[in-house]
Amino acid sequence: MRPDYPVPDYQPMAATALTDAERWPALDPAARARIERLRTHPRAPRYNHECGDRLSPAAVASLLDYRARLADPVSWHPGEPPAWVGELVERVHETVPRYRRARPRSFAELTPMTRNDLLSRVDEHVPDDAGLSDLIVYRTSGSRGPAATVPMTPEFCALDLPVLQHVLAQLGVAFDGSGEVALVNVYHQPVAYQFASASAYLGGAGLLKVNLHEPGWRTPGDVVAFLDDCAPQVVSGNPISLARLAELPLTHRPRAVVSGAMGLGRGLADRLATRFGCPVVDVYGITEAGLIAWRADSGDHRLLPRRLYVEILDAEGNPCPPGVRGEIVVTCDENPLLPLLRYRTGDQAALEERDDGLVLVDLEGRDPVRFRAHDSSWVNSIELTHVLSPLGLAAWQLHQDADSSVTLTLHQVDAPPAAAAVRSLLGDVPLRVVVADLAGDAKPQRYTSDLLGALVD
Amino acid sequence: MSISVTALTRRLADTPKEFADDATALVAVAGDVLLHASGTVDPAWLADLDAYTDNERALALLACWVVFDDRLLAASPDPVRGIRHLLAETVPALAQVVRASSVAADPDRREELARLALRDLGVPPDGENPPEAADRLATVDSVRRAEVLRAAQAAEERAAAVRKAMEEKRAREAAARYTQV
Repeated sequence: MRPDYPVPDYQPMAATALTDAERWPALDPAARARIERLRTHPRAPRYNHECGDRLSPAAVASLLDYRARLADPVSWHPGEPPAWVGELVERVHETVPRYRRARPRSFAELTPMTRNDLLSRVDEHVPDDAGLSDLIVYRTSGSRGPAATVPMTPEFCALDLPVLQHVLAQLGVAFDGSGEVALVNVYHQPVAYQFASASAYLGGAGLLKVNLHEPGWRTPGDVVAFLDDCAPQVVSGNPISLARLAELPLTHRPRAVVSGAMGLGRGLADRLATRFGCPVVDVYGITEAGLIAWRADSGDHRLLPRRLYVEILDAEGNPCPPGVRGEIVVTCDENPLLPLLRYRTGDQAALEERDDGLVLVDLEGRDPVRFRAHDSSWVNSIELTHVLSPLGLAAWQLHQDADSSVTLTLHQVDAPPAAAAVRSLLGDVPLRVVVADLAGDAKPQRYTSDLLGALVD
Repeated sequence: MSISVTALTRRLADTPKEFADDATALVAVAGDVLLHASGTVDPAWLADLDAYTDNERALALLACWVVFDDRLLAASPDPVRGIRHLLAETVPALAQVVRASSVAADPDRREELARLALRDLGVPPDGENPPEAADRLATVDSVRRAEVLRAAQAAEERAAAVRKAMEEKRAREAAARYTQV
């Protein structure tokens, strides 16, 4: 237990339950030897968990088919659900307890699901004909309320790999698992799991989850030596952990950096691209559905060509016309244990159709909070994002008290231009700048307010 | 032509003791009813009735008494087919959830058997259109009620199995994730 942190540290290996044969059902002896090398590496972190891919040979084959299907572009238009959505509606009304009671006449009449449905009665959303033998669970980040537990299959969990291959291929990057380690998922928070793994889908290539916080390592300097030695093709993380990684004297250059969990500001994206000399991808997704959209530049987030249908709804649940912002609502038929129908993500964007596909415009993965400027006008948080994001801040939070005074919290370092950027929009409001460690919350709520009328809902 | 449900339930209330007697041979009675309805009888089909349990046999005898009614047989578009369905399909299903003795004791069970006989013989109850008849049968349908209860129990067992699977440590060890969302 760390005395300076409210969440207890993980007891090493206390959460493990499987044998290696169960963790990696499809790995060959060479890949098992690789895991052993990563486990016993002299500079390895203090591992505190074990985690396999749990992919059977059949699941690996299915993922390879999935990868091939991603070559097909998104085939639907806003407001026009594709044929598989109708089939999904039919199926859930036969097999899913929640939907058996009432059969709506059309997709548009289906009451949207929320995270509260998963909190209160997740078992009613699991199809009767879904096998439970390889069920795994993940908790949502809890950034928009209480964390829900999401059931899924190992194959659904592994869809990130073909999806990342698809995205990176469009940037000219081969993410093929050649070499010792395919991917390192980095965290930078007081408490996090660390483990060595491998993926049968990537030919047995190594995978690592590591925490950059120093107490997670045996000797200062191990983190740099270990990551340089492992030479991962891809590094994934969140803006806070990736900003920390960029400060370390690594000599290894990954082929790509993938940022998720919260919005990646343009300044940090540029800094990461310069530091590592590779494409930097900002992905948007939710635990319940997986990855939804991505971008590798300052443009809009492109929807992934998955079995995923996206709507934008207003507060009353009515569809917003293309180009009008509202809540992102997803329908996804890829998790056999949790088919999602009209699932409210809590995130905001507009949906637009472009020549090269569908995009989410002005994606803001937080509550749509407004701030009251000195002249009493409302300033949307998206505008604050626009002025703060070029500054290269790893993370920030902005809060307005009931008396209109504003607190800007910056992660670890003060940045005077940040206060100026806030003042540029809010004028001469009382403003306090605080430097704090925002790493404890994996997906912090960026904008909050106690002012009446601040929440646009 | 339609038949009154009340007429049939009264008939059941006044079932002669021969039709409620353990010693009465079902095969012989069913053979008489079918012969009366059509003039012919299929001994091979009747022989299957010999394998009935005591409760099935007792309910089948009551069903024979209900349909051994000239007005009802005359109203049916296909009485032989209706009687065969009643004795071979409906009665065994009903016997799973209803004791034959309850027909004498419980007016709802008499109405249920009367309505099942009308349904199987294709005769509308007096003063009811087909949806009304189906609706009223549903209110006394023991087989359907038992199915609903079984389905509810199965749903609760499944929900408990899902919750247990989600709580298990092997589910929580999970599988590696590759990105952060």
